[in-house]
Amino acid sequence: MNADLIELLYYLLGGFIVSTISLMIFQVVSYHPYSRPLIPILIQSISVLFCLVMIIKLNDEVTGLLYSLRFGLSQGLIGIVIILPLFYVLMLYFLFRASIRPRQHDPLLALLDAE
Amino acid sequence: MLIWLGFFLIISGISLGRMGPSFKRNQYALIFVLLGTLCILIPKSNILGIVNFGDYDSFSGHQLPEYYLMNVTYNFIPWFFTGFLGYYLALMGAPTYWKTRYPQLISGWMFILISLYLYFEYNFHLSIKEVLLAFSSFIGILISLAVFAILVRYVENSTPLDNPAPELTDEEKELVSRIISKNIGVDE
Repeated sequence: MNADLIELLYYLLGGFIVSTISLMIFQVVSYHPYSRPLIPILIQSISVLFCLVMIIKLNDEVTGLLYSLRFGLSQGLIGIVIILPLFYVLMLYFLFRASIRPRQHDPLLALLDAE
Repeated sequence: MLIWLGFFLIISGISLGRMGPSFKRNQYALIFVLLGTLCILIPKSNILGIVNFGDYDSFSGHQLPEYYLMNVTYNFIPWFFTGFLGYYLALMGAPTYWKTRYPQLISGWMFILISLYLYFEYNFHLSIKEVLLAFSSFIGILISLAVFAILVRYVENSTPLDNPAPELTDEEKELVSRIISKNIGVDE
């Protein structure tokens, strides 16, 4: 298979694994009597396991599930860190607009100013 | 393994930070996040003298998968924290909720410009192709969120509704009105 395509798949699977594991941790840590995390966590675990097996199939150097998990998480986090500047620049646009936009007239705040 | 402990602690801290009412978040959230960040920074400072990410895996003989991640992370930290500080200051100075505070606004934008400079200083080796390939991790995240949303929707829909709550007793009504009166500052 094409090396670029394999790398693309690593990033895709890695992003999925990072996000899914983060959501699983979130459900466990933020447990409360009204939450029903059992079914989501079970299916998320199966989907992560499926991704790990896919990584093992794609990469000959990856042998065990634990190594595959470390590899997948690493690839996912690397991908997130690399693309974060794109969102940073996008947010800069909104911050710039917020910085130059004049404050809208608010009668309640005007009352405070009058005091 | 310290980096994964750090990852776990940061995600746990953020999750704890979402618990409770907005005016009183979980008190351990910040501690978890700080500990997690420390776990990620320790290998770089080599305080413990036990971690060397240039090493190879003793079992498989391959380079550790965390090696490249740590390099990317250490190139990420300088511009990210400078940018975060810049954002914070610029938002404090922006006229969104109150009057424009020029010292914060101007210093915030200066920090943001410095962060952009630091980004190019530390990440000059990144190619457009690499950024485009890495963008697929965003698609992976979107798929994961979509699966989670579908699962939550399924669980919520399959949970039977509780019976309607019984009407408040006189004692409960009195208690509620007393609490409301106390909170809005009206004497009974």
